Order: sequence, then structure tokens, then C-alpha cells
Amino acid sequence: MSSNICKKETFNKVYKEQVTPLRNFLYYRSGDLQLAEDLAQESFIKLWKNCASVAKDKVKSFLFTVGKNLFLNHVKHQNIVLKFEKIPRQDVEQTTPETLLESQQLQSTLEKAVSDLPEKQREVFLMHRIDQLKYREIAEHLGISVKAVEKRMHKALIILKEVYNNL
Amino acid sequence: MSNEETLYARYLSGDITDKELQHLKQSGDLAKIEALMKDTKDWTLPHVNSEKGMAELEEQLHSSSSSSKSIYKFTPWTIGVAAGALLLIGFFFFQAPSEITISNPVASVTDYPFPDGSKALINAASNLSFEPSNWSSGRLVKLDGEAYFEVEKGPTFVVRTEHGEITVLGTRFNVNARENTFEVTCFEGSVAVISKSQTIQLQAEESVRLVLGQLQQNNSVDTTRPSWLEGISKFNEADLEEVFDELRRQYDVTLDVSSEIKGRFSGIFVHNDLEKAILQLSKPLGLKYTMSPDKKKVTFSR
Repeated sequence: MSSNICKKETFNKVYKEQVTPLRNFLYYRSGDLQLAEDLAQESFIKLWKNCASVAKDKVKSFLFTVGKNLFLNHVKHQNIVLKFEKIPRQDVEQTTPETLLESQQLQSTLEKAVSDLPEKQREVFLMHRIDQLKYREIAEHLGISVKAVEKRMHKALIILKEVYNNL
Repeated sequence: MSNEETLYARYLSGDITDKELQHLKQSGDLAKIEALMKDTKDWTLPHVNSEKGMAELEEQLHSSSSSSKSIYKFTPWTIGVAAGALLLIGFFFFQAPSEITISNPVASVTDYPFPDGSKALINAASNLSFEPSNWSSGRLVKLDGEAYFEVEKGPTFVVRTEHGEITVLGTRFNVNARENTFEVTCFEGSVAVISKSQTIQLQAEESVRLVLGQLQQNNSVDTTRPSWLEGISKFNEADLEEVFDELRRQYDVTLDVSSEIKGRFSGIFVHNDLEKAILQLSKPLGLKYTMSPDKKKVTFSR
């Protein structure tokens, strides 16, 4: 059993497992899907070039750290707007134009609320919600403690639940 | 270790006291959080076509030197294949790989064709490896987990597991070789099972199981294919630990099982509906259960 990922099969496995969470994470940061894809690719190239010096259990945090740094080098911070597709639901009750408009408006409001979250809270919330990662896994990717993840998630929920104050 | 600053997060993961839950309900915040979860439930991002990505990555790595500052522009990956089984083929950087490993993630079934047309269907959380260069002279497969094989007639086909080996010529059979389980079922043809210096020959509709170090034969196999291929896990006097392990693998969920729950189970659970599967276990066994709001953790008790 090799202790690093220079073996092609091991590297491929890592690629398949991590390319989507990494691309998504970079999207949550940049709001630019194409950029997120490019930066994710570049992160994997760096990983391959450094394969001998990255321990197997440090691979996830290596990828996320490299990706984060590449992004920071690339663009200035700006207000981002995130958009999420929704799998169409077969709710029979929701077919009137009024309810359709309402749900579209709610979607926009939520997307804006999420986009406006501070970066640290935003990425934890989305990694949990969209990538379906457990807090333990998010902690591993970001190189922080589980408790730190829970705190950020809690803060994100405090802000996001305000959307429902008047509904 | 409970803390105000992590309350909402712990509510979602089911890691919350009854008292905290009461306060949450009374403050009206629980309803808002539930509404938020419902309205973000279907959020997705475009699929990543990792096959295409890997191919482009390979091209980039083979092309002439590039400065680490430049960003490579890749053609946008089209919305790709529907989520399904993962398949790893080691052709990435070299022409002829010496060993191919197929690794199946949690909760799916992978279908893999061998060079001679033989097939393996691999259950959740299992690994299988073999050497294609040797295939025509002798067919050796290493398995950790569970797989169903359809073997074409040809040179001896051997499946090697940590508990023992299965040798066949041309036949259909299922091998379940998990940590505490070893069970081989023959559906067609005949197989020889060698384990702990015992050898048993199986004909169609026969199966053998390792129980406390002894191979025990069972002649009442009533199907033509293992039930996990049809999306159902079926158990016959199986140890409860094994049943809960399979539930974990099929749904990638954390299970908290109270230590007083022991014994055997005969019955089934489905692979496509977690709540239904839980009922299929808890009802016959007389167990109580609770599930965390994010459906990632289930607790069983008497």
C-alpha cells in the first residue's frame, strides 16, 4: 500500500471523489462556474506535481487550500451572486401563475441571502446543503475543527432564517 | 460540550438535547429552519463530467512546460452522465496497466465487464482487482466486499477473498466477503469453495456460509440472481450486526444501535427508500427509532 498518491489509480480515485466538491467550493467563493472549473483543474495539476510530498490523509485539505489560494491570486474580492438549479417538483398544488411567481421570488431571495453571507459561513452552509457533506467531512476539507464548522453553520442559519420572518 | 453557538447546526445533525429542542420549538425558530431546509432541498449545480476532466488533465500534464501562474482554459464540461456507479480504469498515464482496481463507493451497484466477456456486478462499498495482461492464461480476481459473477467458459476463474477462495469454470455465483461474513451462493454451474482448509463443491441453487470457522451448506436458494441486484437486501438468520452494516453501506447513513440489541434477523429491506427500509427492520424486530432532520443519522433502541 503506497502512502502517497503518485500511483495513477490512487490519483484517479482522488480525482473522481474530489473534483465535484472542489469545483463547487470554488464556485461558492467566486460565483463563476467556468473559473471554478479551471481553478479546480489547476489544483489537481499541482497535486500531481507534488504527489510525493502530500500524505494521503492531507489530500483533501491540500486541494482546498491550493484552490483557495489560486482563487485569491486570480481575482479581487467582489460581491458575488450565486444561482442554484432546482430539480422540478411535481407538486400538483403549485401550478397557478401566482404560486409559481411566489416560488421564483422566494428562490431569488434565498439565493441573494446565501450569496450575501460572509464567505466562511456561506461555504459551510452550501457544502452541507448541496454537497451533502457531514460536519466531520467539511472540517477535514477546510482544515478546521468540527466545532468551528458547527459555529459557522449556526451563524449562517441565524441569518438565513430571517428570510422567513414575515412569511 | 453543548453550546448556544452551535445549536442550530446540532439540530440538523440530530445532536441536540430534548430541552434545547423544546426551546427551539417554542421560539418559533424551528419552523423557520425547517422551511429553509425545505426550500433549499432541491438546489443543485451542473454535473461535473469527470471522465472528460481527467482526459483534459492528462493532456495538460503531457503538453510542454507551462508557467504555474497561467490558468488553463478548458472547454466547458457539458452536463454529463447521470449520477451512477464510479468506475476506475488505470489507463491514465501509461499504455498497459499491470493491475486494474474497481472500487465501488457506498450505496450503488457497479457493472464491470472482463476482457473475455465475463461480468461482475459489484455491491456497495466493495473493491475488486485483477490483471488484464494475464487474463487469457488464468483468471484471478481479488475481492473485498460483495459481487455477483457471470463467468464465461474458459480457463479457471478464481475469486480470492480474505476468508477463502472460489474456483469455477463457467457459471453464475455470488460472493459475499465482508469483514465478518463469508457466504458463497451458486446460481448456475458449479463452484468449489476453499476456506480454512475445508473444500466444498456447490451446484446450482446451493450456498455455503462460514459460521464460527466452519463452512456450513444451505440448499434452499430460491432465486436465479442475488436479491441485492434487484435493489433489496435479503437475510436468512443473519447476525444483526451484519444487517445494520449493510444498511449503513446502502444508504451512507450513521447508525447508533443500542448495545442491548442483539440477535438474528430473517427478512428484507429495500435500497431506495430509507424510511421504508428502517420500518422493514424495526417492525419485525420490535425496535424504536429516531432520525435526525438531515436524515443522516438514525438511532435504534428497544
